[in-house]
Amino acid sequence: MESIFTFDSLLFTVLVKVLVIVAFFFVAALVVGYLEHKVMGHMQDRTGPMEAGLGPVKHGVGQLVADGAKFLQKEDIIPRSADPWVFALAPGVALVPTLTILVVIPFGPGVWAENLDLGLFFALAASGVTVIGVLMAGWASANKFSLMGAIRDAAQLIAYELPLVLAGAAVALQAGTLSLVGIVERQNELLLFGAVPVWYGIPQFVGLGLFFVAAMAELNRPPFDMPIADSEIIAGHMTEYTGLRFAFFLLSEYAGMVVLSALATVLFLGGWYPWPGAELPDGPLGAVIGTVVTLAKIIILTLLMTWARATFPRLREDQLQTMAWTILIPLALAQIVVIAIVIVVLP
Amino acid sequence: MSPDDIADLFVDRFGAQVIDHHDVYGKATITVAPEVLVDAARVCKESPELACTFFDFMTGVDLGDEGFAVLTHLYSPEHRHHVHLRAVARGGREDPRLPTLTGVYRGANWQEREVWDMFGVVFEGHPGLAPRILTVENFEGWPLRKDFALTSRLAKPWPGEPQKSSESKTGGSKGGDGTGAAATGGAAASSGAAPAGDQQQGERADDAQGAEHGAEQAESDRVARAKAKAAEMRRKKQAEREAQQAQQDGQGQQDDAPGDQGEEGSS
Amino acid sequence: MSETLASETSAGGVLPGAPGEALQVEVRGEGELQTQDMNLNVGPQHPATHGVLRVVIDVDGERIVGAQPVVGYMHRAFEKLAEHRDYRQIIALVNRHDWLSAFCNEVGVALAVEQMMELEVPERAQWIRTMMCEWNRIMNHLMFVSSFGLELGAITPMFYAFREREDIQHLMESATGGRLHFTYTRVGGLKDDLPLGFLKASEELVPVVRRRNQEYRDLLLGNEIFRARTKGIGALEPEVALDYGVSGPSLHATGVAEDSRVTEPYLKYDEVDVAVPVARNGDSYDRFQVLLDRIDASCDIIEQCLANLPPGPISAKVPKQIKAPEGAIYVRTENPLGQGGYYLISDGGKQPYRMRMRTPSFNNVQMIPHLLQGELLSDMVAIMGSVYFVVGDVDR
Repeated sequence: MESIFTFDSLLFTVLVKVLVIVAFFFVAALVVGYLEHKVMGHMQDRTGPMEAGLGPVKHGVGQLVADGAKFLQKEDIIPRSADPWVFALAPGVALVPTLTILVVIPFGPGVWAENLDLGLFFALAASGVTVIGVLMAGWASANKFSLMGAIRDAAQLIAYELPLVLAGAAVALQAGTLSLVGIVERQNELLLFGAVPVWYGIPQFVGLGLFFVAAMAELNRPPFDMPIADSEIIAGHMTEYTGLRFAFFLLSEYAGMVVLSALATVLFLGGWYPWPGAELPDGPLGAVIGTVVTLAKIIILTLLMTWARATFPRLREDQLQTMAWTILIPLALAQIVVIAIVIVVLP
Repeated sequence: MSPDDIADLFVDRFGAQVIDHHDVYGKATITVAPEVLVDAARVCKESPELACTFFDFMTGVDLGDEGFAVLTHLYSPEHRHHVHLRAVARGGREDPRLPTLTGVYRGANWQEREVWDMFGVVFEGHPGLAPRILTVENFEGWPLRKDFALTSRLAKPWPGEPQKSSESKTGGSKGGDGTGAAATGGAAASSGAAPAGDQQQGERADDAQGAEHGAEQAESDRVARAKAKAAEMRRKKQAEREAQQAQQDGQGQQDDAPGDQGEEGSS
Repeated sequence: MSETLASETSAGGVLPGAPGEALQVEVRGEGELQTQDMNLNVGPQHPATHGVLRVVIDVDGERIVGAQPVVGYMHRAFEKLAEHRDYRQIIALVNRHDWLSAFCNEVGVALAVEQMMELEVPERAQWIRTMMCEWNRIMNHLMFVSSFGLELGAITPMFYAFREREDIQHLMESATGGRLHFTYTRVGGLKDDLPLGFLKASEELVPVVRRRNQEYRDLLLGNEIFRARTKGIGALEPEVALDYGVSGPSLHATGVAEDSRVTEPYLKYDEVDVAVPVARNGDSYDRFQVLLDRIDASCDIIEQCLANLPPGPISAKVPKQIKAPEGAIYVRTENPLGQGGYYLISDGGKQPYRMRMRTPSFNNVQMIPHLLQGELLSDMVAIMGSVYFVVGDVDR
């Protein structure tokens, strides 16, 4: 199937795709950020933002827009002893990989920018690049707390990229393709015991858990937020940042939540299909339904991450490493072996 | 152990080195010679009868010409008795010195640093008294010595502090920026306190005059007006009170009803 | 191989890291594997230090090899000021050094002066003081319950604990007129009697506090991550604790049940059952558990106070001029953070000749380097958050 954003003119096609992706990127980050503010507020016996809004619609819907406007007005400070170029570039380096992953994620039948044959590979590879921005920020800030945060983040990424990739690999193994669109479609055809239609999240529930935990760790979401642990190392690599550059880091965190939730949706939760074995009507109606379903699944996953943030204290760096290397990675490897055997034996 | 028993134990142990001992509200206060201070502390901690393992605090006391005493409070959680171990520093006011207790109690480290910071008592053998623990690093003088003046109190008398008011006058009339500030402060303080005045009325009148004197030289008219108003209120009030005061003169100290007290406190 | 790169600095109170000052740095390992300790200034403005405590630590990677608290940023010369105030003014003064235990502090001073003057404080005033001390204790502990969770990265307990704190604050405000600095005590009694409705509100609030306290137990003590972060971290031995003069929850967590409410009862603590919760290991977990248990114990005391509160006057007859007779006295009270005490020397005047404030936080903070040695940087917050202290109480 072709992407619905395909037109006769190549230039126009590229332009439309880029615009759609960038627009979605910002809007999604704002929506998720707003939801986190509100939902966590209510979890904590308070209301969250209530004032900023559009006309009669208040409840803080405009809060993040207002925040963004505020960040724009802040002075952009580059510390005297910082490495100015690296310091200035770092937020962008942290932000762009998240943006690029959006290129391959399918939101509905035909609603994607590009259907790469190596889609999963591309997404997982790009997600690892963010850490370079963080390392740049930490090193260039000339601040000990920043440096510690950046090193923690790098260590964390090495530990968690592995279970993330292995969990993804198991899905690719079962689907027999690395294309994300292909994975969604094959997933919907899966019949457990030859009768019960299920998504990969059921047979690979271990993988789903691994993927979700590893994604939270990679995004520095609590309880894995040691790299920016405010009570220990101020704000890690973000300590010296102000204004728009600081906002970029925040944006990349929220956008990262969306992207990795979307990946989890595609890999384990049936992508745009509302239930296992469902069939969507062809044409625009199907695309709309599919997109809504995908977005709903993404929001549910991001809310789960918010719930974890409101509930758990922070792990310690060494405890996190222990958990990754002694529990998650062996589990992921074992799961791959099991899936491989099942794939070979069962058909 | 009772305070007397504790004192006996020390006298037995150190003889004439125990300079003085008495029972202060149920707590033994033992004054020992500086030479045996460390030994005495060790006895307190290690002897099974005393077992004062809890190091509470240490404080300096300005004894005037005699120099400084350092009092260490020790407590025994086991026997539930207290020992105030006291020693007068050698060297008088010029160079007060005492042996350190850090070898006996770890908690003595910071407490001795604080005593040094506040009184200038040097503890010989302490691992590092400097830098000053509470005051700023380049602070000069020893703040809790009695000859260290609280300068803000010299410049601006605390309401109800009669013995300082004459000093404040001279301090205020020396002019400069300090004068205006002192007058403003005095005005604010006295007008705030005006409705509350009771037994201290007579004393406060002195203050008002002192502040008035300062106001003459104040640069700001506003300050002077406020001052004059406050002083006028003062005089009025005082006139009202004088009759009462005359009656009360004979009585000296007079009991105060609790309600009145509350009023004063809230002012 | 170990060498000193820079000039030797005197041990003890050195401030490493001040601009232009030589650092004593140890170099470990040989050749390319040489590592060098990093000197890290935590504070005086750092989220984990509750104010302006500064801890200068040397870290080898994330492991702390040396720590030196630097205090005094909030020194306000209370002991000097006290020599220039009369006793009633001092009560307003001592409210301020440990702002979370304001009421307990003012009671300490009042007790000292009353004992010297041999004043008989009316029963009702004593019962009210006891009850207020316990309300203040709960308020204080809730603050640390919230901040400890926050330091470990759990943000929710803070919002929860501030609910009850607010309720208690309203309650105390109704009686005292103050939210933080109550100044409700007077020498010889209290400022005012309790307002109408106070007792009823207290009775209703106690079960709420108790129920919510159980929620914190479930939320934090029952959490796997919380346990992993605090169990065995910063374990304090009882002998060391006594040696440093550590008191309060930190001491009780080591198993020493020294609490002057029990061992030397003041106010009405001899007529109520005072439970002193203790633990065994002295680690962060135990310190936190003791803190929560103390909230329950305080609830029990408040209920007993409510049941026993007699009618009567709330202030003794006191002379117009409060003058403590010549002499010296030491009065200690069990403040929320530990043993608070006032050593008062009077020359018979209306101002004390010398007033020494024995504050729990000073001794507790002095002990912190002992616990930090060899722990990880992340454990620093678990330790400093559980050795409960208030910076104003350290620096006075």
